[in-house]
Amino acid sequence: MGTQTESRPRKWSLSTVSDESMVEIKNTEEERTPSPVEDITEGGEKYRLLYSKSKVYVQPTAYAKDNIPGFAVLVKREAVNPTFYLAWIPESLLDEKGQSEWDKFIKIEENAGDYDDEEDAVLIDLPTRRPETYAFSVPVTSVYSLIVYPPTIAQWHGSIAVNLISGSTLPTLYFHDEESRSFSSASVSPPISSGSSSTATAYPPRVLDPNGKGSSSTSSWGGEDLLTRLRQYAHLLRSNLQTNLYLVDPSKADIEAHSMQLFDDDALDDILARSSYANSYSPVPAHRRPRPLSVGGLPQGSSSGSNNPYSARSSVLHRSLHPPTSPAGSQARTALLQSFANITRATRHAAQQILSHPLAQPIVPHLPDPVRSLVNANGETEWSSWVQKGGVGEFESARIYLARWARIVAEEGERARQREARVIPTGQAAAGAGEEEAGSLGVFELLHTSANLPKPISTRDPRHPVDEATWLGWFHKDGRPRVRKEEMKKEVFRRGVIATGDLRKRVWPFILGVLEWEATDAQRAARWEEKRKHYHSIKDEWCGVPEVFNRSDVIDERHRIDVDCRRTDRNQPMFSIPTPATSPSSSTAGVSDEKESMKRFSAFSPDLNNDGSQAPSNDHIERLAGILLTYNFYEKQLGYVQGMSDLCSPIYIVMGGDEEMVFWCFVEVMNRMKQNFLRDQSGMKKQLLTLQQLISIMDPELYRHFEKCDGLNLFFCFRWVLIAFKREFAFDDVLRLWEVLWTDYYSTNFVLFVALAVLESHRDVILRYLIHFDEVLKYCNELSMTIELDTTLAQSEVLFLSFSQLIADLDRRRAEDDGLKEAMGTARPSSPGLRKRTGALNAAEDDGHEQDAQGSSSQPTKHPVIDENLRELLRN
Amino acid sequence: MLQKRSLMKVIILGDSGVGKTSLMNQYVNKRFTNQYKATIGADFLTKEITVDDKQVTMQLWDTAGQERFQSLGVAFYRGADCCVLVYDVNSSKSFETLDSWRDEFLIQASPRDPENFPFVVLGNKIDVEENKRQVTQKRAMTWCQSKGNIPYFETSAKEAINVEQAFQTIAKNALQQQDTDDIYENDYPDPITIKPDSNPSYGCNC
Ligand SMILES: Nc1nc2c(ncn2[C@@H]2O[C@H](COP(=O)(O)OP(=O)(O)OP(=O)(O)O)[C@@H](O)[C@H]2O)c(=O)[nH]1
Ligand SMILES: [Mg+2]
Repeated sequence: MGTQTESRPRKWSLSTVSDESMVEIKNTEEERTPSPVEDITEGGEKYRLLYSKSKVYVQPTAYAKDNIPGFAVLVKREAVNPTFYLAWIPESLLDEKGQSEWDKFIKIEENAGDYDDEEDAVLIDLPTRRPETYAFSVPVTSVYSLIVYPPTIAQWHGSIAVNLISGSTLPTLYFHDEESRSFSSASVSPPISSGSSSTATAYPPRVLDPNGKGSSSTSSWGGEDLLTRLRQYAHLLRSNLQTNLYLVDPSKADIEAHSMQLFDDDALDDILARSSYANSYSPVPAHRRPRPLSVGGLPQGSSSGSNNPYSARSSVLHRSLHPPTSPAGSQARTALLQSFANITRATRHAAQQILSHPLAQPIVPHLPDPVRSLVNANGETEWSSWVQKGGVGEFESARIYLARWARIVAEEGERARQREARVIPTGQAAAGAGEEEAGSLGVFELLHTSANLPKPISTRDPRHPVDEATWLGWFHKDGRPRVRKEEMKKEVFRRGVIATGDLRKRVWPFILGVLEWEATDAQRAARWEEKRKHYHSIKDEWCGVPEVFNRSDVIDERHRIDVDCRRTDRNQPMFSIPTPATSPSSSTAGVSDEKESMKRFSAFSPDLNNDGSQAPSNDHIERLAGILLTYNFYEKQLGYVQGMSDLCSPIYIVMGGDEEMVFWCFVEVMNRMKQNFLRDQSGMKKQLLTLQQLISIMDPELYRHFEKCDGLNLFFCFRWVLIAFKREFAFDDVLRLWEVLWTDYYSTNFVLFVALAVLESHRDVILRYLIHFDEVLKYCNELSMTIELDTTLAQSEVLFLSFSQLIADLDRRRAEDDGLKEAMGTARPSSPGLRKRTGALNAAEDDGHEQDAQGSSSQPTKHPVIDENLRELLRN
Repeated sequence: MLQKRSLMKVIILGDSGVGKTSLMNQYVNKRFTNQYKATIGADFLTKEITVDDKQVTMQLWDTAGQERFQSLGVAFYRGADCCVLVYDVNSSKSFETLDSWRDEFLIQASPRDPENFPFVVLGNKIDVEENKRQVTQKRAMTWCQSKGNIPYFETSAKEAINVEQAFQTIAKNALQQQDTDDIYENDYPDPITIKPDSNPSYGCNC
C-alpha cells in the first residue's frame, strides 16, 4: 500500500510535510479531540453517518454459530471541530430500533461516496460501548493502531483489530464480504440472525458496482475499503516493521520508528511479483508468502527490463544490496549501520508495543531471550544492553536477526490463521489439512497453468501411520507377504511407521532390504543366521586380534570413531550418562555371546577411556563404536568419516542395540549414502551440483540470488545432505524422515527435494534479507530444530512431482519440435503458440546465453538442457 | 557507538576433537558443555570486541576437523585475517598434524604475504590430569618459534583458562593483518581505517 496521496476533507485542516518517502501530518493542537471512549454520551446528540459496511462480524468464539453480524461505520459529530468516530453496531441493536434505522445504514452503504451532500445527511444515534453486545464507538483520535489481515486462502475472511491509545483492544472485526451488500449483488434481507456459513463459490467476491461510485470498487476486500475511507479522516501509516500494522495519526516518534526505510513498502511485492508471476517458476508455497495471492487476476507479464531486482530502489537496504564492488557499496554499508543504530534506538517503544500486544503472544516464546526481555520492559537499559551483548548493531548479524524475525512472524501469523481456519466448521475447513496443503501450494498452479500441467498434490497422510494391525495384515501366517513390496513402501512413504511400540524395529529391516520381502519367516531366519555369522567374521578381523587392533592406522581410526561416538546423541537414554550397563534388549538369536562381546568392547579405546579429555563413554557408545569399526573392515575403501556416527546412532537406538541388525541396517543405509563420504568428496560435490541444477530449473531467481551471494557452492546445504538432515530435526522426526527417504518411493535421492523444499520455504526471507554467503550459511545453520517436518515433506513431494512433470513436458516439446523440424526441413517453425510457451520456459535457462547464440539454424526453439544429473533424480 | 566498526575473520583449525568448537563457545558464549557434536560443514560465531579503543566484530569460523572435509576450506578460508591452530596437549598426534594444517591453510587461503600471515597456536585441554599430557610446553614453543614466532597459549575450554587472553592476542594480530592489507590495497572496500597496532605481543603469554 502506498503512502497517502488523496486529498483531505476541507474541514480537517492539516499541514502536510512530505518528502519522497512519506507524508507526515501535523494537526494543530486544538483540533485534536482526545476525548476518551467513556465521554461519548447518548444524550440526544446526533451523529452523521458517513460510511457503513454491512456483514462485519464479531466472532466471540471459534464457532460460527456465535458470530455476531453488524455494521462497521464511520460517523461524524458535527461541531466547530468535528469529531470522527469509528464504530461497530450489531444488527440486533438496529433491530431494536426498527426498519427505518436499518434503512439508514443500507442507504449509506449503497451511496458510498456521497458523503458531502449536506442535504442527504443521515443522522443516527451512536451506541456507547456495551461489552455484552460488543458494540463500540470510539473517536478516531483515540485509536492507536489497526492490525489488518487481508483474506487469504487459509483465512477466508479478512479482519481488522483496533488498538486504542489507552492500551485496550476492541473486538476484532471480520469482513464477511460474500454476504455484504457493497460486495455482492444479493439483496441484504434485513435481520439475519446469525452468521450463516459461507456458501460463496468464488472468492474473493467480485465488485459488482460498475458505476464505481463508492471507493469499494477499487478495494479487494471490505477491510481495505474501510481503510481507504478512514484515510480521509486520519493519517494511516503502514508500519515498515510489521506490515499488517497500521498506525492511526502516529506521533512523530512512531512515524520515525515505523517508516524507517529499511525496505520500501513495496520491495517485497516487487520481488514477489518478479518471482511468482513474472517467471511463473518459483514454487513459493503460498503460506510462506507474506501476502495472499493477488486476486484481481494475474498481473501483466514481466515488464522488468533490468535483471537486478534491487535496482532503482531507495531504501537503505536496497541501496546496500548493490554488489559491494559498486562505488556506492561502502557508503551504503555505513548508512546501513547507522540505520540499524537508529532502529535499535527508535523502535524500542515500537517493539514493546508490538510485543506486548495479544497478537504477538504466540511469537514471544520464539524470540531470542534478549528480545523477549523487551516485553513489558520499561527502560532504555534492556534494549541497549541487548544491542551491546547481542551484537545486533553489527550489520551482518542484524540482517540475520531481521530475517529470522520476519520468518517467525510470518510463520506464527500463518499458523494462527490456520488454527482458526481449522476450528471454524465451514465446509472448507472440514476438508482438513490435505486441502489446505493443496491450497498452500498456490504458485504451482501458476507454474503448471503456464505450462498447461496439472497441479501436483501431496499424497502424504502422516496422521495415520502404519500401525501394528496394518503391518500384520500385510503378511500370511508363514510370513509371506500379501502385498507387493512397492505397495508396502508406498504406504510407508505416505504414512510413516507408528512411533509407539517397536514396530519400527521390525519394519526398518524390510524397508532397507536387510530382510527379504518375498520370503517366508523360515527363509528369512535362515538367511539372517548367515548374515549374523558374516558380521561376526568381519568383526573378528579386529576384535580380539591385538596385532590388528593396535596397528597404528587402526588406532587412529578407533580414536576418530571414539571421539565422535562420545559426542553423538548423548541426550538419548541409551547414550546418556550414567547408563547402567544393562544388557540390550536383543530379541533375536545371539544373546548367548552377548557377554563376550560386551567384554571385548569395554576396551574399545583404552587410551581415551578415563583421561577426561573427552566426554565419558558407556557400553552402548562402545558398542556403537565397534559397529562402526567393523564397517571399516567391511567397506575398506571408505574409512571412518565424520557423520557416520550420526547415521548409525538412530539405527542403534531403534534396533535396541541389537548389534548385528544395527550393522546390517547401517550397511544398507551406507549403500545409499556412501558417495557422500568419499575421500575426494566427489560425491558431495556431485550432490550439491545436482541441487544447484535443481534450483536453477525450479527457482531461477533464487539461483541468481545465490550466484550474487557467492553461494552457488551451496555449502550451507552441506550438513543437510551429508547426513540426511540428521542435525536439523529432533531425534523422533529424524526417524520419521529417514524411513520416508529409505523407501526410495519417488527418487533414490529424495533428500535433495527435501533440501529444495526447505530452501523454498525460506526463499523470500533469503532473497529479501541475506546478501552474503556467510549470512545465508548462518541462517541455514540456525534453521536447525525449527523446520516443520510434515509440511516440508509434503512440499518435497509436490516439488518432486512438479519437477518430473516439467521434465516430461520439456521432453515432449522437444520431441514435437523435432517432428516439426523434420516436417519443415531446417526452417524455424512459425507456430506462435509453441514459441510462446517456449519463451516462458526459457526463464529456466541461464540468462547469460542469448537466445540465438547457439545457432538458430540447428535448433528451431531452445529448450533448457536437462543435465543427466537431474534426470537421475527421477530414478527410484 | 556504531562508528569505527570493522569485521575481522578468524579461522580455527585443528584435528577433530581437540576442542575447536568448545574454545569458540567458551570465548563467545562463556560456557562449556560436553554436549557439542562433531562439527559438520562449517559455522561461525561473531563477537563484538574492543581492541585499542576500536570496536571490532570478530567472526570466528569453525570447520570440521577431518582432513577429508578440508577441500571445503577454500570457501571459508578466503579473506581470513588470522588463523588459529588448535591441538590437544594430551594427544601428540593432534600436535604433529599442526604442520599440515598450517600448510593447508596457506595453500587454500593464499594470503598475500604467507611468511608474515598471523597464526596463533593453542594447546587445549590443560585441565586434564598432568600425567596424561603428551606434548610438553617446551616442545610446542619450539615449534612455534621455528615457524616465525607464532604466539602460543595453553588453554582449557572446560575451565576457561587463558581463553580470553588467547583471543585478545588473536584479535590484535588479526587487526594488524587487516591494516597491512589496507596498505597493500587502496581500494579496500571497508571505509573504516584502523591505525596500525603499535605494540603487537608475540611469545608465550602463559
Ligand atoms: N577436559 C577437556 N575437554 C575438552 C576441552 N575442550 C573440549 N573438550 C572435549 O573434547 C571433545 C571435543 O570437543 P569439540 O569442541 O567438539 O572438538 P572440535 O575440535 O570442535 O571437533 P570437530 O568438530 O570434530 O573438529 C568434547 O567432548 C569436549 O567436551 C577442554 O578444554 N578440556
Ligand atoms: Mg567442532
